[in-house]
Amino acid sequence: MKKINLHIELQNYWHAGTGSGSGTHLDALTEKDRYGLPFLAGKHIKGLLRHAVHRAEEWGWFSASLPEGSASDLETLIFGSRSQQEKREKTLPGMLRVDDAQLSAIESNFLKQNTEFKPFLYQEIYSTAINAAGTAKAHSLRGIEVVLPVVLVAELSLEVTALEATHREQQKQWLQNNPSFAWLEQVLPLIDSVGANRTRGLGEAVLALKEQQKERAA
Amino acid sequence: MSQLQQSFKITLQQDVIFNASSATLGGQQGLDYLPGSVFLGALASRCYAELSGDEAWQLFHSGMVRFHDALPLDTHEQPAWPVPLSWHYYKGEEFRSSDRTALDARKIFDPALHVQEPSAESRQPKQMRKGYVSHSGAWVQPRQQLRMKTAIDARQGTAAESQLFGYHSLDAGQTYLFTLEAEPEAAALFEKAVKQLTGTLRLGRSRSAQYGKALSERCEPGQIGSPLPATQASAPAQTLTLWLLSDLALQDEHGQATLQPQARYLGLPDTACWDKQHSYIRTRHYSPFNAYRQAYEQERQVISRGSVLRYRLEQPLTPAQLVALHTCGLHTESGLGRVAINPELLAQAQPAFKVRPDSKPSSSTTSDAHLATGSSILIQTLQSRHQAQQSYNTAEQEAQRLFKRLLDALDRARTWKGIPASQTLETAPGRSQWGIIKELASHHRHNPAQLWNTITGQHNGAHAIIGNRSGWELATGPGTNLGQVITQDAALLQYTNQRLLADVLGQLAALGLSSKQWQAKVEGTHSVDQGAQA
Repeated sequence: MKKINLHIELQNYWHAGTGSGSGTHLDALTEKDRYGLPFLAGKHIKGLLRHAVHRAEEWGWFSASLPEGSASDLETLIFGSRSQQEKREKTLPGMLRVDDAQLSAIESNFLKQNTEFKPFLYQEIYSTAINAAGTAKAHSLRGIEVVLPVVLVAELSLEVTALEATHREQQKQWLQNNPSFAWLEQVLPLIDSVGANRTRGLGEAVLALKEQQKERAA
Repeated sequence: MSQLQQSFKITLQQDVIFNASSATLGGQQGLDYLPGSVFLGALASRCYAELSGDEAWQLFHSGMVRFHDALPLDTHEQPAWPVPLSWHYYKGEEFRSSDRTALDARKIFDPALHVQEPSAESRQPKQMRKGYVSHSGAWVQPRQQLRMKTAIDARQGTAAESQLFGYHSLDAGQTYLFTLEAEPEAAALFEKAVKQLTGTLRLGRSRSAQYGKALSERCEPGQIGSPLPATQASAPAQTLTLWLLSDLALQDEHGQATLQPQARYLGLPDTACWDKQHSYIRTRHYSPFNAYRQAYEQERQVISRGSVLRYRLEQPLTPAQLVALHTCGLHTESGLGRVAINPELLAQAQPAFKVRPDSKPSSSTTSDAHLATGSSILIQTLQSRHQAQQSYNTAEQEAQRLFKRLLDALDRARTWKGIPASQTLETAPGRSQWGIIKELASHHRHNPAQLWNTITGQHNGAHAIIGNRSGWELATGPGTNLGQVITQDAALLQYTNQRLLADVLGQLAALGLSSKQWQAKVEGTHSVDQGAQA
């Protein structure tokens, strides 16, 4: 298994959607873990990485051919079959595991021990639609909870996951041929924002891969 | 030779998802335990391909190695078992301890063994069906949550059609006890399995992202209590009580699945008889999905965990018969069929819990505060905002306090000067004076000393803002005036060299400008003394 850390350096306010609001106060609350700390869901990050690899592959960024096997393209080999594209018995597992992106251990531990600082991680921003007359549209006021710009870290790992022999061999061969995460580092510039409302100004981010270091234990 | 056994403490490092059924459509209920089959599957994915046919059969299919369900640990890291379905409480009555973390043994009873008091005729027994109980009576209800997620259409950037999914998961941070058991003949494979199942595991559904990570640690002997409930020291010779700790899959003499736990289907002597009147059963059915075959396996019809089966015996069971009973039925390799025989907790009409251990001190964590401060911009920012909030709160409180004192001083001024309540205090400070103070507070925000000098005229009394002019000279008594409420306030004097001074004066001025109370007091529309008017 190969592991690496994905660093997400947020440049402005960001929002990890939950679909939940707080009643009449805010229409959208950001995702928090059981300690009340913000995080970016692993599934969301995986989706962003998948879209980036898909585009890069479409544009011919990856020159090396895939080893023979069940997966016909790099995207499927790394991320597995696309949802709802195959019947359940035909799906292929991916190789990439993506954990949630969280605050660093030092920052997390500090905030778990000093809970009075946690509320200051969050802000509320409000917006309203503008009508043709140039004034606020009635009943369009929306409030959303956002998080201060922070640095989040998510662990990524690559491992052989296939059970079927041909596919398993393909995964093993590909891992041998690609000992580093260079293929992923290449596509990171295609991701310039994370979280919800990315097209509305939130979540601008710089992504980078960094080797894992042992962080001071809590 | 006795069976081999190794327990593992499983700590969920991420939320994990185990669905009650393998269906893919509709809302799926999540399990609150870790089925043994997930550990079997995790091991198989790692080493099945490397084993010979015989080894794979022995390890994964024969039942010689059994992967039991992982059950939750209570807050004292003691094993907890599915609440037996024989336990009832009276509907509408509290059956838990005062802190709601344990069951109250006095409120729980087995209707089959319990003699109902006459007063209970109007009370309705309600069966307990949820949660887990430890030998001390701790009631464990694993925490679960539901998240809705949607895929994003890469081309549109919007929610993809028909791609809304619900994820019903067990919360991270919870701990479970998993036990691996094996016959002595499978010792070598058992050791291999123990090694492979130690460390980080990925369990359940959606484990490629966000879900599934768990830490598996081998337990030393005595580290955590026995994975099985204590057995009665001397069980009655002519009854047998079985408490199902996992689902039980039985088959009849024709090889068909059966939900009738007749004695012969459990391998009991022919003279044994299932006592239906004193048994409690629930059933369910599901079809496991085999990821290797990518197909559903045969549907399983099972008697659910928590069920209590009682039998009448003509003679006591032999030790060998009792041993054989510990795991019975089909699919024992996946953890089905685990049974507690004549458990102490079910011996009487009401349970007898052991004494609860003292509260475990919370594990100390090394404080990294001294490292974080100065090394993290985020921490510095949060500290700064926290301090500003504290400062704002203090300033707000101080301003409110001073404002009240000024209002009281206006009343004293009326009394001192003999001005009726209905008349205006012509010489009191007005909006212009408040405005000047507000502007000065903002202008000298970063220079409290200068602000104080300007306000009080400390170095040049003739130019004091709060001095012998602009209404602040309004007498409130012998030798006292309105301005002195501010300039001689003991608490405010402590802030004359702090940035807080500007906040206090600024908020005080805001109150003076916006508060209707000030205007009313000055203009005389507020009744100072109802008795005086009469």
